[in-house]
Amino acid sequence: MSDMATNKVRNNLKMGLAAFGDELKRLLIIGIIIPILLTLPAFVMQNRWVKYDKIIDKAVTGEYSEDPFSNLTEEEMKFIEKMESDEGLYQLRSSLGLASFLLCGFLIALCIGNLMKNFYGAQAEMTFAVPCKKTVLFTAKFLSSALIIEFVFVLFQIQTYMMDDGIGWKDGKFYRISYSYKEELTDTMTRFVREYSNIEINGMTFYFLLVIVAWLGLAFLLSLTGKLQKYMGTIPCAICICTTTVVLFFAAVAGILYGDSYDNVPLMLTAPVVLFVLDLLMIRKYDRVSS
Amino acid sequence: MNDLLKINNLTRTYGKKKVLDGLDLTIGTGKIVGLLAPNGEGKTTFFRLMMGLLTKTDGTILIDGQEPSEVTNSYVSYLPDHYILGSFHSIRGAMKHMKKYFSDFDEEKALSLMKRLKFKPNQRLASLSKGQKEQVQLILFLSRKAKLYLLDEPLAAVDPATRDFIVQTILGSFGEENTVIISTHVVLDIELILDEVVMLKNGKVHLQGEADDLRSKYGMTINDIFKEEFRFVEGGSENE
Repeated sequence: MSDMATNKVRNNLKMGLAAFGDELKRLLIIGIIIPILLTLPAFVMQNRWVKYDKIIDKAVTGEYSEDPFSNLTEEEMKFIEKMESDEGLYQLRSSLGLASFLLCGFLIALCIGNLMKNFYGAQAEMTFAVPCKKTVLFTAKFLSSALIIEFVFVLFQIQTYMMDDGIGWKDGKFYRISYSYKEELTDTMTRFVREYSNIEINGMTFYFLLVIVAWLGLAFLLSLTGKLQKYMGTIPCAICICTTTVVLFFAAVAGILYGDSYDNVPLMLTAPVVLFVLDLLMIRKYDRVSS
Repeated sequence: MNDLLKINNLTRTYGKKKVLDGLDLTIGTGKIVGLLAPNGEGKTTFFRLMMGLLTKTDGTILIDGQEPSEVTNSYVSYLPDHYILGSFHSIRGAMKHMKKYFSDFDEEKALSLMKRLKFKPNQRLASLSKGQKEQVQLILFLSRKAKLYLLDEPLAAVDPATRDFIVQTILGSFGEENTVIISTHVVLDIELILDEVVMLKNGKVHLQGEADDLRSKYGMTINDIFKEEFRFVEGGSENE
């Protein structure tokens, strides 16, 4: 490789990393700090919650005593009792869940908005008039936002598990610990039994991929608009875009639903990967869409 | 004198409309060039093609011997005709961005120009008026040590008092080793600093020449030549 080509690659890499870092910085508060703060209360609950199976409930007397293998204090037992029945705590859990849900929605809207604004909106000149390949810029900005969205999705899934059930470590692996049944020890004593099950990632992957498909699909359609406007009139352009939208949406949703049903992550990834490659191809010959 | 910009048969269509239609143009180094045309004659399209923001339908563009790409973007400074600094909180943030992406950005020059216009680095961009925002943007793009400056309507949103400052700043950024192309239809304010004039009409170069030569030839100012060439009559321009 010649010195000039090496310099070009190095410069593109440097600019790409800068764009990646800029996007992460932009999303630092809403995409990292606030989600972590919202997850902290769940960690506090989790610390006591996972010890649940070590409590013996004296059903008749309504008292609790420590399991021989437990180190729970009375205070912790009361806390657990509250988690089951206390209205205030129920509301706290619901509020945290709702706040996380709203934050996810806002973050997704913000990321899609940023991407559109950076590449197709008023700031496209600021994004593209820099000494960096368009494909590198698109990849950098897309990946950093996707990384943040997935981080938030995973964090909130963990939060939900920890507030409703628990996450525990067993046999070298993380498990979801959920309340399963009450085991009758004697006529007057019950032991709460918890069940260990695999942590399911399909739920969060499914929603994450839906967001990514919507996002990449929008980018694709905007790029296509620019290309079509160059070669065709407004009406054929509109017909092509409508048809492509329907076909892409159908293919993407069908692919994802099919993949989700069969627990097949590679298949679920097909639609976003195809859209991503198409976006890169389109962005190579970018056409400024709006005037 | 080297040819910094060499354009042959440049064509760009939007649907069936040819905005640029076989445009040929050569511009050398060390000049301030006025790209003059009424609205809708392809000035912005011309600049966007130089920056790779649009793809050409036909023809060739060579900037310092190279097709527009990320390489040419490293020595071409483009000021668009609208505000693009939206995502930064402060002037300092926007300056940091410029420094990160453009190795030729001169921070000291930017700070000094900001100071002269009484802008503070910590000032939030959102707190500025439309005209002030465009001044900040102009300062940032003129603070690059570029080979070619493309300024799209730099005077459109500023008051007459600030126009003088901007014209002086453009002059101050200009040297023998670089070229400034200013697109405008507000000719009067910049006419005195122009070395060369290019007028676009119907997607082609309608008139090109040294500003002084054109003044002598037509016996009037560039502003008057512009008015004469693009005089509006109902149903179309007089010269069509």
